Amino acid sequence: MTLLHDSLRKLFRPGGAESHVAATVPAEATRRSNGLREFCRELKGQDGLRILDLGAASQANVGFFTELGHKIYTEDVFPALNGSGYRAREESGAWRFDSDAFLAENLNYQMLLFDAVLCWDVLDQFDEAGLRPVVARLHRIVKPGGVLLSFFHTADPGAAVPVYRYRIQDAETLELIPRGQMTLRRPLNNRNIENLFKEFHSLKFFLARDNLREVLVIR
Amino acid sequence: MWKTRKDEEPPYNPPKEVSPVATPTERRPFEQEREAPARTSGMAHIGKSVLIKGELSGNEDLYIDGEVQGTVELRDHNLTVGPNGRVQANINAREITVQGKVQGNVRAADKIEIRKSGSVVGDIITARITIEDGAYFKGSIDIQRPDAAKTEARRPETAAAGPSMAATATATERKLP
Repeated sequence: MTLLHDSLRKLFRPGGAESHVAATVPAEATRRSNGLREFCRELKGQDGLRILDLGAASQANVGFFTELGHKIYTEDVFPALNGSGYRAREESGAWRFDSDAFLAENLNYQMLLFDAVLCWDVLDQFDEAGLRPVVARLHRIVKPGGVLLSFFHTADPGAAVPVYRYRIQDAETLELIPRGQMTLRRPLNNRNIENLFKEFHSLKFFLARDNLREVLVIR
Repeated sequence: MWKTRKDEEPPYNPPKEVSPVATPTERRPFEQEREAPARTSGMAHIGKSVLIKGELSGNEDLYIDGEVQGTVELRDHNLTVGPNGRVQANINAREITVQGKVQGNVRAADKIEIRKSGSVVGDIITARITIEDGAYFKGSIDIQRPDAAKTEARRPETAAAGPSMAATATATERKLP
């Protein structure tokens, strides 16, 4: 009787029988990546390159590049960005991202230059104040002629977009494993991105159906 | 009036032997102690309350579930860093399994495995590597596979009285907070 009473109560509660919030965690997916294909094409014919992966440590990514004879560096910046360790208070009392503190402990390669960097969607996770110093640091640690691959979401600002682990299946296919969500801070159209990477040599854009803009940047 | 009912007294039951109860160790803030597996025979074991500072070397397998600062040299043997292990050292071993935290450069002649609970910050040189999903790694990976010539020319292991572990160190036993 109690069970029936509870069921009836839920049925007539505002919102109906199913008033719970639906889960918004996206499922794992595989996607073809033209940006990755071009990235790998830039590395073709060379071995012993230094590649920096700014995503989560991945057996697949390590194996992919080491099988090609390259040396891979991994630095997962997502946990650092999602902690509260890099905040500074402004005079107004508002909190802002402390890019100096972040760069003192992350992306800090004093004597090292990379041939290639996989940024994935990391740059989308920085706010306006943090983005330019980080791109300037990337400019410093990538060799002239080096290549950088970055993904930018094309949703509206304020939209919740998923954050993924990007696992390389082959030279043009990625497996996307959800690891969280972020609020998209600001829109970046092609012109914004060109301006962001103005110190670099050239850019190539690839827009996919899943509203993820892939950008290949040549240092 | 209040005669004792001796004949109705309950039978005497001597107290049962009580097995000792382990005093629970304090938990670190925001960290959960993880259960370490039972000791494996033939493997040296550094328990979770032990802190060693200095050079740790030996000719047997080693399981670290405590804290080690310095260097770990187990050239032809295996190292396991348990779930409570914290190693701030450069490591040289044959096979290395990381379930806890390692900060330092790591050389594994055969392979290194970073489990999902593991964290490695440092540069790795190894012939093979396995990284489970969820593991944290920051550093470089250099795959160096041994040549066949080097394998044939490997010098035979010297006969020893038995496995031994040497620590040129200051070993202290303390309860970790």
